[in-house]
Amino acid sequence: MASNELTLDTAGVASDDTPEATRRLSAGVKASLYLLCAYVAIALFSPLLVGDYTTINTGQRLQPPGVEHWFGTDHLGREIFARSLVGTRTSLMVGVTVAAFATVFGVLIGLYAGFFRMADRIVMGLMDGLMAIPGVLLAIALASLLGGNLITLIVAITVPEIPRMARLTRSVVLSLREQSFVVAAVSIGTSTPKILFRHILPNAVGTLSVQATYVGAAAILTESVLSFLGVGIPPEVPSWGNIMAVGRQYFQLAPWIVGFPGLFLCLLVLAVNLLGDSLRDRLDPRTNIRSDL
Amino acid sequence: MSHPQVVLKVEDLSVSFGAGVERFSAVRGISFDIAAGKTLCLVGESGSGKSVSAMALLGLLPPASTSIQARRITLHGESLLDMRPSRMREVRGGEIAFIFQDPMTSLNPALTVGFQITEAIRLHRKESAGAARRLALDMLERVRISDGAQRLECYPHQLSGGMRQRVMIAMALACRPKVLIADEPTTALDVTVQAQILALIDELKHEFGTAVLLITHDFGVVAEMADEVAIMYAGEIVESGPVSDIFDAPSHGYTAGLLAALPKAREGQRLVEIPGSLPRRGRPQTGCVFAPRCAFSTQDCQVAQPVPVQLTAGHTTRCLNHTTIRLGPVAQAEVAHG
Repeated sequence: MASNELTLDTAGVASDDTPEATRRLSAGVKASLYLLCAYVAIALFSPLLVGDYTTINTGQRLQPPGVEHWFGTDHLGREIFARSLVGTRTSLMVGVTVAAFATVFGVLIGLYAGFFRMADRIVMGLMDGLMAIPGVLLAIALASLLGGNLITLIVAITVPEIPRMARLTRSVVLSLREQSFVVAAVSIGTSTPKILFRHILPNAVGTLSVQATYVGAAAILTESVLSFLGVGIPPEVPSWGNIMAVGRQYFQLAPWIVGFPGLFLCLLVLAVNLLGDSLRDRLDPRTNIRSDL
Repeated sequence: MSHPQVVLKVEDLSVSFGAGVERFSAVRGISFDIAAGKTLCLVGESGSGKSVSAMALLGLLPPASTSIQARRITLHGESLLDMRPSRMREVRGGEIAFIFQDPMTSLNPALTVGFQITEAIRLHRKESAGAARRLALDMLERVRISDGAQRLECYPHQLSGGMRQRVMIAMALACRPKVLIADEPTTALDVTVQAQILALIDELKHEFGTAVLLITHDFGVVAEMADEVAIMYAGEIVESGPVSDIFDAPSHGYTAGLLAALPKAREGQRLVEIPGSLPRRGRPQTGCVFAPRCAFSTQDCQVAQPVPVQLTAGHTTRCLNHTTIRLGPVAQAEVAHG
């Protein structure tokens, strides 16, 4: 009888192979991946590729795109092509660091609030208070308070994103902590920190990493908005936002100043969001079940 | 024969949820002992307080909304009530292990089986990672999982339900606990696997001298596994005793009703049932809690609260009419069917 069952059980081991169709990436996701790789390459190597992007050359001001100036020039005669490429560094840097910091702090706060019910009211009350202030407004206030450089800008964009991350983490923890595997882990004597970081967190990683991509995309946009409004990156460091801010005044004369960095921004945010969506579809257990059936 | 040593002693355990008007007492004053190498089956229908009692022993119920009272809960003489949290963590898994009802959800889906078993071992024993792994492999062999090394790398979703329950048993017994609490360990499994899992628990119990508290609603399981039986109804133990006494001489209306309700392999017979359902939560009761559903109830049962009566050594019932019920199966059936 026992040996009989063993063979049964061996047969019962579920196959790990998912159908080929679900493994294959859609064209949109592939394009986003390539695009993102291109952005990273640009961010890494642009200072080597484009040479000078700061010299003011008033003789060449507001030149339209052409063979000589690929993307045209701005009101001080600087190359939009070079400035857009170098601006990629700022945007990616801000996107990645804000996503990382907002995730780390948001997740820690969310885990704490979700697991320790006593702390929940106070911590989430604070978070709700922060969320009540519109994110961009809070970022403007912080950025103008702290003064404009890259680090303060990252802080200013991170702070409004933390409550959103914390709230999501908390809700995931609230549902996970009731799962019987968590009770089972408690029943074998697992300590609370281990429960949080080894048992609950790994099960939340899917949801949280998807949210992190959206935070990254939002941060890139916010950075542009802040730089556009003049409270972000100092004007000598090119960022898509401050290039566009200058271009706004010359929009009718020289639409390329706004157009090219705008296009860069648009494509990057689109790529990050598409990747986030595809990540969500892959990590969401419900969609997995559907594709397995 | 010398008396086997009592490992777990529970006296007058009560559990209630909520507070004020919302307060609902799920378990009222239950007592039982389990000896080393013996199995106590806690039997009762859904909602009778079986699982709650077991969870209360290890403090697994949410502390904010639960109140647990007992005259005494001791493990080898050491009180489990007011135990320091750090000592409680040692007891959980180290001395009292718990197997849950649903193997599908009791393993962490994000961690490999091997990680989970070795973690369970290393929580309670100062073993190196390699030694813990060898112990885990050994336990997998004990619970008859073939290709142990390969299985250790599996995630729970890659295993069948029976396999997962074996893994749970391996985890539970890896640290040689003194007490194993199994909360309906086979309910979610099909019948053939069920028999093997039970046989496995029984075998390991004899090998390690573990005291087993088996929670079930299945009399087939009781007949196969139990040394002692405690029948629970609406948060109280209504009858308890050695398994032979319970089956041969049931002395409570509820026990008799449950035994009469067992399906028999005879054609054309309607299943016998116990009419009615569990009393509404928190309803104040006068008389016997089971009286409204009891086939043997008299007017006295509506008024007087039955006190535990000791019938023979170890056999206790809370029933006013236990003599009528004890008359035997034939007389019982006649009374039950009018």
